[in-house]
Amino acid sequence: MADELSERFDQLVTQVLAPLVLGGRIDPVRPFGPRLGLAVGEGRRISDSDLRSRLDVARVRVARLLAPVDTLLDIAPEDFALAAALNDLLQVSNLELSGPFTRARHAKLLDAAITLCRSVPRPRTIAEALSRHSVFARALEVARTDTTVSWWTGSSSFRGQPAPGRLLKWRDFRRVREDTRQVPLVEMAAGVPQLTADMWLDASSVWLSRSPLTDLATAARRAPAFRWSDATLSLIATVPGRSLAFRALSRQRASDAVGALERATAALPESASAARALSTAFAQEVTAGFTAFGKKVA
Amino acid sequence: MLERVAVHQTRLRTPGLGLDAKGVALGSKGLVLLPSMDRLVAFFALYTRQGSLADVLRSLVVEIVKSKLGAREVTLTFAAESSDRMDRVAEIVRLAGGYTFTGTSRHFVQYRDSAAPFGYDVPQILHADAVLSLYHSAFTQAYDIERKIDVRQLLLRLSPHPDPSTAQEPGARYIVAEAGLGHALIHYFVRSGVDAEVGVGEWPPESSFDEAPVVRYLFHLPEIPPRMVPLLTHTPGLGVFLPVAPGVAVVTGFRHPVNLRACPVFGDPGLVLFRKPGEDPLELASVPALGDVRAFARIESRMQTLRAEHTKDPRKLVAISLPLRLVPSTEPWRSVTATWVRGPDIDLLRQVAYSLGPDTLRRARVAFTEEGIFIRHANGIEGIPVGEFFREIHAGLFIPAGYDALPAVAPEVLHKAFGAPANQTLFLGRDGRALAVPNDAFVSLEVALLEAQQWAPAKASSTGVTAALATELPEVFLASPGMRPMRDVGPAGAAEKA
Repeated sequence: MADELSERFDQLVTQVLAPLVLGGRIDPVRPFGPRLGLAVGEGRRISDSDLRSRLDVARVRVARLLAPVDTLLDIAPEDFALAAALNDLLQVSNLELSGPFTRARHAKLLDAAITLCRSVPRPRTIAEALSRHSVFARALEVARTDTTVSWWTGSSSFRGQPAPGRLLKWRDFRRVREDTRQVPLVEMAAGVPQLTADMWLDASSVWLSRSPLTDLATAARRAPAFRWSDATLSLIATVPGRSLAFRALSRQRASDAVGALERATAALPESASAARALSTAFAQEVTAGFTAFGKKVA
Repeated sequence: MLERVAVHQTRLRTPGLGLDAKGVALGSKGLVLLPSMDRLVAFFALYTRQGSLADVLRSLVVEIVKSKLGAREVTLTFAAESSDRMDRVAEIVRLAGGYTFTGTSRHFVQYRDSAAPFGYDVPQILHADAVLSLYHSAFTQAYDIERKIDVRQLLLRLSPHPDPSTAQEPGARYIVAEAGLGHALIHYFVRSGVDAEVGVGEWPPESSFDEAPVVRYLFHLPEIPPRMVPLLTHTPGLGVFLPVAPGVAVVTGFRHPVNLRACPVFGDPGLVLFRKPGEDPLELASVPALGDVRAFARIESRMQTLRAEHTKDPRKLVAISLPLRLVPSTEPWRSVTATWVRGPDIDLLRQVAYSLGPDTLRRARVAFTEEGIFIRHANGIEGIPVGEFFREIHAGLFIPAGYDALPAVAPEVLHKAFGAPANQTLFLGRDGRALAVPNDAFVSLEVALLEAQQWAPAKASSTGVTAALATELPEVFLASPGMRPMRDVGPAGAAEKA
């Protein structure tokens, strides 16, 4: 059992986590589910020292955009669990996950991924938040290439897979046309049976909320809309956390960032008065900061 | 009609005509008849391209002659001396569209050609009281002399022709600067370390309304640095002249129609400067006294005497007994290995720091002081083009680049005069101060850039951008998750229950 878990851990690291941080090809592995996802990184560290070193360099590079640090905490078990959740989310968008009689698997796996995300504790310290952000900062850059091949008698689409070579032969004679399209993470669930766009965006939002700095660093995104979470509110409740959050926001367009914060504050329930006051103060602070730097907020 | 001189003929009818050693009929003079002034200039241009006019010039007389019919032509009379000279002249005259004659006083007969290898003789002398009687196979004509033409004045009147190639020719140049520009040009040459001599020339007033003579600065440069050529040639009020012969120079970009080097009519003590077409040449009876431009350099008050008390070390007061002076030097810059950055240049240094290469960052050493930032680079400070450059004249002793210390004592002596501090680097400033920077204050510029708090964000952003550009985008490739892909997932909420 331990050997199998180690094997799954290595697969997760090499096929998902490392390309997420370093860039390159992400090959999602078999879904983990909440229980295995939480356990897969427990007591384990990346055995390939070269890969670990390259990951550290890339992470520090990301972290230094926000703070002048030279070292970061090691990737924690919670981070591996979050990577497993991302893997599961990516597998939700994989049509080969299910057959004609098992279409419900997508919704089931989505629920499991959300459960796994909610089980991952929020960062306990600013250093943990920064460390987690350094791993998942590029999550929204993840894209999938969909290919559509059409020829004189028909066409065929390929989701996240290159078209087979046989379909591309005799291009001129068969009048083969190949169209590729980059699909960002937030649109990957399009066409998945029994899954709506809102369900996918909710799941993405829950996943993002587990890395508060990443959440704030992409607050100006179009979808999923930024929402205050326990993790992000906890982060801005501290002075250094607020500084980091401001720096993360300042790398985005000022008007979009401030607008996202204000909308998120307005969406907080009336009962959460403390959270509302905190987020309002932070939004004002960010606005003042942007104004002081001469950025147009409105 | 002329008669051909035969072989071994001993008697000729033309007065003053004899036979030389080769049997060619030759008088003591040669005469060239040219139809116009244009042809005269063409003759000079052709002749001087092939040889020097110096030997002919001594006896050369150019005159405008007038025939009985009123036609005016040009004659050149010169000592014939030998048939060799006459042959050469005759060839060129033929090209210029003139005729060559020979004779002694009044009667000149056509010089030999291919039809008469030994020349011609006159069957009958023309009875006329004209000054010149010319006998040609095609005509016989008598001329009176109308006036003489001075060759020098003729050459002065000729406008130079455009010839861009002369601007590229290496060598010395004269520069004439109008009075208002002379001083600025002197200091430009001093600052740039250009070896040049300067004098002041005076020309008579251009009109009777001007009382004072026209004063212009005359520079003589052994060579103009290529970078200065556009400035000097295109600035109104400045003229660059290429010496083409002793005592004569032509504005660059133009060439005199006559090769003046082969036509030594301009005396050495004087100087003639041919300007662009439409402008009269500038003549100087004698070249004005020229002096090194460094003698005219402005001695600014900042170049005050440096005394050792500036070092704030009483012990050194005793050591330095001579006043030290820094004077501009025209020597090429060598060992420029330090710069002193202060004031607004510090912001510039921050910007320049972005573009510095890793090697420069690693090798450069920087010291932050209250007086500014001192940067040293053993291989040369040119890579950091900010601040005031210093050159190291002795280990641990820097003086401003482009300046020399006076008296010209050995650098070792100067270093000792400052007490030869072992762990200090001395910078002698142009503002009269000697600053000592502790050697251990110099740290790697690379480290300083990182440690300086206000610079850290710049470094981090730069690194991030560079690295981000080199990183691939993460891309998802989907494949079948295999048999029973959901076997690890379990029921939803299992983890929460756990």
